[in-house]
Amino acid sequence: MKAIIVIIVGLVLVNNIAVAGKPGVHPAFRLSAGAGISAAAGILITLAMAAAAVCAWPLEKYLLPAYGTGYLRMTVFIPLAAGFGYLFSFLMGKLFSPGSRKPGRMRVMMTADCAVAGAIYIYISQDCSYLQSLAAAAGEGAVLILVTILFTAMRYSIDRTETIPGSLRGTPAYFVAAAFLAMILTGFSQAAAVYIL
Amino acid sequence: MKIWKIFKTEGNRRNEKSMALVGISLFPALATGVYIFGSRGAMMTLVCVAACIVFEAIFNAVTRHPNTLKDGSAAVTGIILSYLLPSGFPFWMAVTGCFVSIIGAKQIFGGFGRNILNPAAAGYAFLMLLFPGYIAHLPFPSVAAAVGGGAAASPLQLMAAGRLEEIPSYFEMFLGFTSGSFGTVSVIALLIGGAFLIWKKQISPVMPLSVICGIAVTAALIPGQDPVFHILTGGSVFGAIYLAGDFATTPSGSVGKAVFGLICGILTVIVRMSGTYIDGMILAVLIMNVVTPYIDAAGEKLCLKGEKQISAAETGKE
Repeated sequence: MKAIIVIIVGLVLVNNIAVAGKPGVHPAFRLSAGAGISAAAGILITLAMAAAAVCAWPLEKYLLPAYGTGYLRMTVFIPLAAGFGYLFSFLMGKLFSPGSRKPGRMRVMMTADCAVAGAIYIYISQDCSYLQSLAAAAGEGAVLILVTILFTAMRYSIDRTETIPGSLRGTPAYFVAAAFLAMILTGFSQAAAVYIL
Repeated sequence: MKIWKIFKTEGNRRNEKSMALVGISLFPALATGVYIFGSRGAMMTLVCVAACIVFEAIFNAVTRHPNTLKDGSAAVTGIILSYLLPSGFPFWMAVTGCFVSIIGAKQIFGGFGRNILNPAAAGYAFLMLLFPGYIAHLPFPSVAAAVGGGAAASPLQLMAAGRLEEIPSYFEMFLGFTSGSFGTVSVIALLIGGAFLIWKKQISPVMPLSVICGIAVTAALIPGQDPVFHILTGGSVFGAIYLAGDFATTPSGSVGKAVFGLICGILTVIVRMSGTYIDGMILAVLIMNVVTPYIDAAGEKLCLKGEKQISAAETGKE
């Protein structure tokens, strides 16, 4: 149980891929259009990643080694994660807002983001048990929820400021804000590492 | 949304006056800093103020932004940043921090009153992560140098190292006769400055009190920790007055300020206990700056809900 808590909390606070790794920044940018959307997308990614981990772990531990194809773990897991991301966002669109154009956009975002999260998951789940790999997958989603919700607040402040110079309005200001958020979370991650590791 | 805009406009109208008063309130800490650590700290303050003014002028010229130097915020940012640094900190590094504070954390986001993060705190956090060795290399207080020698360490560093018998007394910490950052060690000087700002209605007493309460309660709940020690050391009072008291980056309502301050205090002690940094106040203030829009939005929702209930009750009576 302690190992599972350490994996989840460690992923969120210590090895925060969304700010510490290049691939993670991208989802945080696209998902931060609104606090509600950020939270919903984060929860869906958590579910999709957990579902992908449920299927991927037995494949990775038993099927691939049996045929000597362990090197295919990335090509197995990323399509699984992306597929579950697409499926979950599709179901959400059908259930909550049929006919709306937004779920279509959301589906593309979710698919890409699950693929990104899946690529990171592979590195951390190598020597994990079944339950621990599930926790790692859920931790990936929790990371995205935290970062996107924080970044949404920064974007909200930037978007309603009229005095930002024209050349810096929009994406350039977002990048600077993301850099500061990464800096703050890096500071917290170093402190959290002392408690967790 | 309208409530927020009204608040912002009022804040900007007070720019020049409020910044001048904040500058005046920082003088007691400057005087005690020079007395405790020598004149190099004052030189650092001059360098930081000059660098901040120059960076802001350059940014305004390059982006054809209206001249904002006369509001005095650049100078105040320079003063606050220099107070957070050790007096022996290299000047060129301090200038780098000024660049991050003024260009990165303030002007890019629209200038004074629109910045998301406290500029001085952002600049200091940048320096803390980039040059941790220099930030943690604290000078020995010159007033105590005659008594003993050896390496200087702040009370928090002594606590983290387990050298509890070397921690100064409460009275010494209150006066500021300890090792630490140039302008944050003397609690009495900071309290004089804070009282002046509260008297002039430039800051709400809710914010500093809630930060101090957050620190005290959290320290009291952790076994073996002394709440008074945590309040008197590590720039707690400085952060509560000058970093958390910044109106542009903190919630507008009193309840929001209290929530901000309490969480800020809690996070400060948690980061301190890890022993990773010289102090946790800066990171706590910055992360709370980020979530300020959520606190404001929650406060506005509660206000509207309350107003609706009152008007519904009045309609019922009629």
